[in-house]
Amino acid sequence: MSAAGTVAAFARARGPRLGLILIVLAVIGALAALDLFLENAEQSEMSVQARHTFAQGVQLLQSGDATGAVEALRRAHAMERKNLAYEMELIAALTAAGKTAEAEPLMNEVLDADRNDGAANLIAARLRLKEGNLLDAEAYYHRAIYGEWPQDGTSHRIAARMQLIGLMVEKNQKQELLAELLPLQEQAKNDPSLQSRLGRLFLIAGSPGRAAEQFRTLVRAHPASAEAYEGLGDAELEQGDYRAARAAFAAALSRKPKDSALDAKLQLAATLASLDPTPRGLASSEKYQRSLRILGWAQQDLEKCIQMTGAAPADTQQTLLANAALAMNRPPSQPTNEMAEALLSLAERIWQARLAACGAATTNDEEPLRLVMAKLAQAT
Amino acid sequence: MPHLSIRAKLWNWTGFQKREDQLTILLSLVIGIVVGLTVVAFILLTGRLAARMYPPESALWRRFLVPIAGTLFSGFLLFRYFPNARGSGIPQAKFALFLQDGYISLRTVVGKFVCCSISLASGIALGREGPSVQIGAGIASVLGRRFGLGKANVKALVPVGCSAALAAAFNTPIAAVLFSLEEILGDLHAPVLGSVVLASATSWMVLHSILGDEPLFHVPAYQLVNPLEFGIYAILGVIGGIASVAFVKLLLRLRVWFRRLPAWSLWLQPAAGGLLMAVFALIRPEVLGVGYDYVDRVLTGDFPLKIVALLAIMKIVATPACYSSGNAGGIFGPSLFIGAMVGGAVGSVAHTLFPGVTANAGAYALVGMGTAFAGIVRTPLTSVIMIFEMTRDYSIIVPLMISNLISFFISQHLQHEPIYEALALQEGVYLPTGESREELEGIHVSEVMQTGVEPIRPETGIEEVKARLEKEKTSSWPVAIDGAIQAVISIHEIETTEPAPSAARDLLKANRDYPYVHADHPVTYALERMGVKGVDVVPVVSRANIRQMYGIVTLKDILAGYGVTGAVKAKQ
Repeated sequence: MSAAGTVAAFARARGPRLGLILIVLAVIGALAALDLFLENAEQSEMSVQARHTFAQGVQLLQSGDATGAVEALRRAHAMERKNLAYEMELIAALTAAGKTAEAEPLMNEVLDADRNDGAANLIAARLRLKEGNLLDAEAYYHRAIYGEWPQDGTSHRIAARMQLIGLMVEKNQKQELLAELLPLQEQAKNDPSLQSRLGRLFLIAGSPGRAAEQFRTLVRAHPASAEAYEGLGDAELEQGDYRAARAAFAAALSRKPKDSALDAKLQLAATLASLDPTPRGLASSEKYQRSLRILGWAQQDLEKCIQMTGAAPADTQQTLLANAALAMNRPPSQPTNEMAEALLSLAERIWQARLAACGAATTNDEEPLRLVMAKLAQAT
Repeated sequence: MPHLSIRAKLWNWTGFQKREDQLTILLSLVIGIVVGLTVVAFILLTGRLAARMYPPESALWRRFLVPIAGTLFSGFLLFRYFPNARGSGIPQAKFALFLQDGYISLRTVVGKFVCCSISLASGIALGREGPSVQIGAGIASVLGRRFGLGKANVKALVPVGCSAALAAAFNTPIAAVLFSLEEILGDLHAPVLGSVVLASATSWMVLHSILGDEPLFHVPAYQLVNPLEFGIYAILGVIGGIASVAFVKLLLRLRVWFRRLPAWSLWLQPAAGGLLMAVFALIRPEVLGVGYDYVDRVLTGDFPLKIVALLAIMKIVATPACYSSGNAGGIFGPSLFIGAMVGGAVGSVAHTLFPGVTANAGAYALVGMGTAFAGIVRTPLTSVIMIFEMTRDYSIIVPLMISNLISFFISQHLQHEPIYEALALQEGVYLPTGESREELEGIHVSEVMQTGVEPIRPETGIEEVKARLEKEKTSSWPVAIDGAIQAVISIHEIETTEPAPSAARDLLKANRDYPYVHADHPVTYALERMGVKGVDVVPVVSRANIRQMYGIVTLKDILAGYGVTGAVKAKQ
């Protein structure tokens, strides 16, 4: 006997009202079962469809088709509104497509769900960046860095910090950049690629000592790496240790012999090493000779500069050039350190005059002189 | 003091001392559950079937064939098995309430469910909410009868079922209560308010427990960008009002046209709507079905102006065609779709012209939904609350109210009868209007009317008519042929008509527009009708057929009803 038949038979036995109640209860049960079946079927079907559409959207976003990605991700999100991953990817696509006004309320929704969610804060930071709100963007980057990442937190935090660092490099915020780089040192220890990037970034942040330290560690761990030696060379060059730079570039070139850029750097380091008047223990006569070469270079530079501008030389320029000519034409029999310092002082004044007349831009030929001058200025 | 059981004390405490009242309250709860479950099944089934029948980006042939095949099949079922399941369901629920003492058959409920599932799955431009209301009312009616309630209580359960259905169909429990009172009952202070609220809340809880806490539409948070926007919202109200009137007039005209077609074509007529949908679907597939997915997209302001405007026009044409051709489905959903598209179009133009002072086009689409609903369905209060509940966004409420009221007034001015009353009139049914409902107060005609009176026959001679009036002690009397009333003639007309009439028929032509009242009218209304026509007798007629006379009410009867002694004596 069927279930309905049983209910009907029971109902007949217990009177019409009870029978009716049982029938109503049976109908409620049947409808509830039907609803749950339909709902489950819909949910599973929707879920599969949403996953497929989401994958399409992600692919489109990665290929640079932000508009197409928005379309697909919007469909995926509509199918599974509670899936935060879909929603966040949609926000990312909307941001990439420049539809920040549409992304904004979705962003608030995601953040309202969990203010500490690292991924949500990272997307919020990108959105603010797209809107041109740098202060808020930085704040969201920090929340992303210190927020919660359910899986693979360390690498996500590093990635978030690297994005913030990229922003600071772009904006040339050296102090803030250095502050962001320091916490990465510990995390970079076991990651050569990150160590190398970190070294380069320390150079940009104006901290060549830390950069050199990174590259030295890298060289120790990976002695066959030409990139590590090249980075070390760059860091030493920036620190003004031209001999160490020359040695590092030479080591890099021996590991990557056909690299012309590396060769150029080696030449530059060699030139600077032979020109640098500051190393300790340098004989007075040698220091005088180097100072004289620097003065001559500075004098030529200023003359070229005056020629380029086409104007008549100013009185101060004429006086400086005359003093330089005088110093160069009367070499002393017993050169002393003081004489060398006097020449360097004159060379510096001539370099300043050259900068005032022709600006800070230099040619490749002038690069060694610029670096030496920068080092001398730092020393004083 | 008599000893009372705990159960009796409890019932006394609730105030529901009559057994039927107790049962009615309990049944409201059961109706909420059953209707909620049924409507959820209806929503899921129609949604799933539609996704299978015409999935997004489906082939052209499919888009073309599915609406035609679906409407042919459902048309056959409607013609052969379920004739009462045609149309929206709202007028039918009102017919049941006002004409049939709340009677809706189980067959109609089943028919509505089956036929609507088929027709909506085939992509016709009708909605599921109106049919849900009829299904809900039908379930309430069936349960009330099966549990042995009296006619009055069965009748009282109809709005309860309507409210439960709408709460589940739109996910709007408050608007469902308001709609049942504002549109179905026409009385915001109806005594069934408690039951209506109970059923609505129960049904909504059922919906939530199965489908979760998701609003029907997902709307980004909007805000008023600049006070100048109020002006644009007012313009939207005007445009929405005009679009609503165009929609209603087209629907009513097409309905008249289809009704004139021969009876044998009845089962084929729905396919005409299906054919139009098929052609439209080849141009823009978004027009298929109720289109809530696209409404959601327009609400985010992401649809190009051209498409939005085109979809609005297509839907304004397609929905009347589908409805008038006799398909089973409602106009609530399409109203919201049209409103969203009209609003989206107005918003796009405004945002292009004044980007600095206007919100995203989505905000206008949201307000547009309410605007079209208020203009088409003519329930402004329900429409404001409904949009608020659907979107759960309070910030847009003032623009919504402005736009809704403008649309409502324009619609009222350009199309006198609201759509459901006009549809009822086409069926020959005279439902109480919003104005007449207010008049249903005080002593009713049914309490003072005379039944079993003999009308004058047209061939009766004038002298005999005079003698009859003399005998009845009145100055006027109805004239009827085989029980079908033709006119109300008066002694004044007999004496002043030139040339002098020889029989009652000579006075019929001048009296085609005879006065009448219905039994549920108040006697004050009968007095008003007497005053306008200068008679002291008005016939009491059926709401379903104004030629069918139930009796008469005379001036003396009314006075007697108020206890005026002279009148009582005269009556005696």
